[in-house]
Amino acid sequence: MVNLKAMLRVAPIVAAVLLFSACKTIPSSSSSESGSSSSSSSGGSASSLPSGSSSGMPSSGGYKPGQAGLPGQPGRQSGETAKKGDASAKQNSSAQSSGKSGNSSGDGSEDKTLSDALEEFERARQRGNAGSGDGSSQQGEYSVAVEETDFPLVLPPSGDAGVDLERQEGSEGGAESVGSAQTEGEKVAVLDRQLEESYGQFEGMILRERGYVRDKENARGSNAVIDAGGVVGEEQGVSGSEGSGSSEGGVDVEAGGPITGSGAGSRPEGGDQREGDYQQAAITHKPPPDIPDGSDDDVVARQLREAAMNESDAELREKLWDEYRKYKSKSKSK
Amino acid sequence: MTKLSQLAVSLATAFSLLLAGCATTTVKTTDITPLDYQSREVAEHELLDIGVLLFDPGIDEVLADKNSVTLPEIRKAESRYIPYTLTETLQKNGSWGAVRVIPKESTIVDVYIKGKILHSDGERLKLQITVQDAPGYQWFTRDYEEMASTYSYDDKKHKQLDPFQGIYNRIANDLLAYREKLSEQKLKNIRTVSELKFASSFSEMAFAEYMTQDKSGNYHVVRLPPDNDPLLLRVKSIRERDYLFVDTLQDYYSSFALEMEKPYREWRKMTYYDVVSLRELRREARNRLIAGAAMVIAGVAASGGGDGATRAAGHVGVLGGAYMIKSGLDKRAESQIHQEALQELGGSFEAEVEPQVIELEDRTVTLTGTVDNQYDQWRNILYDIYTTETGGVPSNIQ
Repeated sequence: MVNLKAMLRVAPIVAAVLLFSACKTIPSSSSSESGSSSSSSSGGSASSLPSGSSSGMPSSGGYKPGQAGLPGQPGRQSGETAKKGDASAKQNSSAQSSGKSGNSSGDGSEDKTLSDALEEFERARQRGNAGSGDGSSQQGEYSVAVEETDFPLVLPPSGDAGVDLERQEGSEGGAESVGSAQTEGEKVAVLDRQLEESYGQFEGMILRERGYVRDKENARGSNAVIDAGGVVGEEQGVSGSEGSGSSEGGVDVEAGGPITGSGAGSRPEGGDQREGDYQQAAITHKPPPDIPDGSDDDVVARQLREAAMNESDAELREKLWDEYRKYKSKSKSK
Repeated sequence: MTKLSQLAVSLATAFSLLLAGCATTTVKTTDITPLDYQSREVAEHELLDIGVLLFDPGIDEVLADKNSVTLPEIRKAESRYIPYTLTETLQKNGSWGAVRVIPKESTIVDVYIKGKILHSDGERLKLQITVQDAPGYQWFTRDYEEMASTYSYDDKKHKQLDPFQGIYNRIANDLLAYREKLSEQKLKNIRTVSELKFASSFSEMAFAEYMTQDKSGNYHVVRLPPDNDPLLLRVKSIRERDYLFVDTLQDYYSSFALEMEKPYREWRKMTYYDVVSLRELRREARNRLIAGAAMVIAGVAASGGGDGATRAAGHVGVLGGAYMIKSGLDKRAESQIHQEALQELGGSFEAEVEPQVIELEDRTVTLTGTVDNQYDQWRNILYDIYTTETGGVPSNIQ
C-alpha cells in the first residue's frame, strides 16, 4: 500500500516529463537534415537510438546517419556536414566546454528535469521499499523501464566530424574522398588568401616607411633654404626671404630651424645635391608620350616610373623607361 | 787626430744642416681614375644584383692608435657612408642590376661586397675589399688606397665629387673586369643559385633538393624546379617584397648619406690641412732632434781636440746641436697643437653625426625586425601549403 502510494505520487511527474520530452523531439526530427553544427555531437548520439524512440532524443536538430540527407544527395550532405563539422569544431569545443553531454543549452535543461524526476522516483521507490518487502518485483519492472529508457549518448566535444564520417555507410565512401579533395584545395585557397592579405599589409608598412623618409627629405630641404639665408636654388625652385618660403614638397619653412652643416659659411646652398638617383628636391621629368598614366601600376611598375621620372641622366632615364615598358608588357601578357 | 776631428766635426755639421733643411716633395695630382663602362650591352638575364654590406669600421685599430685623428663614432658613420657612395658609383656604369647597401649577409643577392676601413682621414683613405658571389666563390680581395689633393676640396672645381672618388672608380672597374671574364653560363648559374637559396630560405623542404653544397661551402645546382611550380611562384612574389624592403633600406642610407655629406666634407677638408701639417711638423721635429744630437756628439768630440780652432768648432757644434734639439722639441709641441685641433674637430663632427647614426641604426633594426617577423609568418604559411599539397596536416587553418 505504501509503495503504491509513493508510486502514485511520482508517476504523474515521470509521465509529464516523458510526455514533455517526447513533444520536443517530434519537431527536432524534421529539422535534422539541416545539419547544424552545434548538434554534431548529438547527431552522433542519435545513431544509438532505436528508431521511433523519442525519449532522450536531442532537442535541437542534428546530423543523423540514418537520415543521410535529401534523396539523391547523400554524399553531398555528408561532405557538407563534415565540412561544417571541421569548420565549427572549435565553436563546438567552446560551446561544449562546460563538460556537459555536448548538447545545446536547451537540451541540458531538459536533461536536468528528467534526471531530477528520476531521482525523485528512485527516492520514492526506496522509501516504498523500506516500508515493504514486496517491491522487488516492481523494482525490477521499473528498473527495466529505466534501463529501457534511452538517454542521450555523451560524446566528446571535438573530432565529431571524423566520428560522423566513420558511421557513414560504405556507399558514401566515394563521395567522402571527393569532399576531402575539395577541402584540401579550399585549405590551400585559405592559405593563399592569408598570404595575399599579408602582402598588402607588408606593402603598406613599406610605403609608410618611405613616406617617412620622403617627409624627412622635404624637411631637410626647407632647412637648407634657411641656412642659405633664403637664397634661391635653381634645383629647388624655391623663392623667398630668410625665414620664410616653402619647399616644393609643400612643407612650410620654420623660422629658426636647426642649422645643418658646419662651416658652410655664406656660400649659396641652393640645393647641394649628390650625383645619382636620389635627389633632394625631386625634379621630375615628364614621361614619354607612349607611357600610360600609370593608374594600373603595381608596386614594381610604380617604382620604375618614379625612378625614371626622377633620373637626371637622359640615357639612364631612357633605360628605366625601357624597363618599365618591358615590365608592363610582361604583366599584360600574364 | 786633429785633422780627423776637424773632418768629423765638419761632416757632422754638414749632415745636420742637410737633415734639418730637407724638404719632402709631395706629388699632388688632380687626376681621378675614370670609371669604365661595359664594352657591350648587357642582356637582362646577365645582370647581377650586388649587395654591399656595411663596412667593418676597424674601431679596434682606431682605439689602439694613439695618434689616430679619427674617432669610433666617425668610423661607424663612415662604415655606412662609404658603402653607399660605392653603390652609387657602381650604378653609374650601368653594368649591374640592382646595387644596394644591405645590413647583413642573410639578405640574399647575386654578388656580395664586404669591406673594412683600414685608414680614413681627409688626406688618405684605405679600404680592404672582398667580393664573393652567391654560390660562394670569392672573386678577389684587394686593398685600395687613395690620397686626396688640395684640389679635391676646391669647391669650385670638384663640388659634386667625393674627394676619394678615384678609389670607388677603381673598385668598380675591377669588379667589371672580373665580371667580363665570366661566361654567360656562369652568370646564369649565379642568378639561379641566388634564387634557389632564397627559395630554400623560405621553404627548405620544397627546394633544398635542387642544390648541393660541397666541402668548401660552395653551392651547385643539381636540377631546376619547373617554372610554373606554384610554390616557386609564391616565393618569387615574396622576393619582390624583399626587393621592396631592400630598396627601403637604401632610402634610409641615402637619406643618411645626404644628411652627413656636408659636415663630413668639411671635417675631411679641415683634417686634410691639419693632417698634412701634423705630418710635416712631426717629420721636422724628428729630423731636428736627430741633427741636433749628431751635432752635439760631434761638438763634444771636437772639444777634446788639440788646437784651439778645433775646440772652438766643437763648442760651436755643441751649441748648434743644442739649438737644433730645442727647435725639434718646439716643432713637436707645435705638432701636438695640431693633434689636439684634429681631435677637437673629430669630437665636434662626432657629436653632430652620432645622433644620425643612432637614428639610422634604430630605424634599420626596427624595420629589419618587423620584416623578419613577417618572413617567419610567410615561412609558416608556405610550410602549411606545402604539407597540404603533398599530404600532411597543416599547423593552422583560420
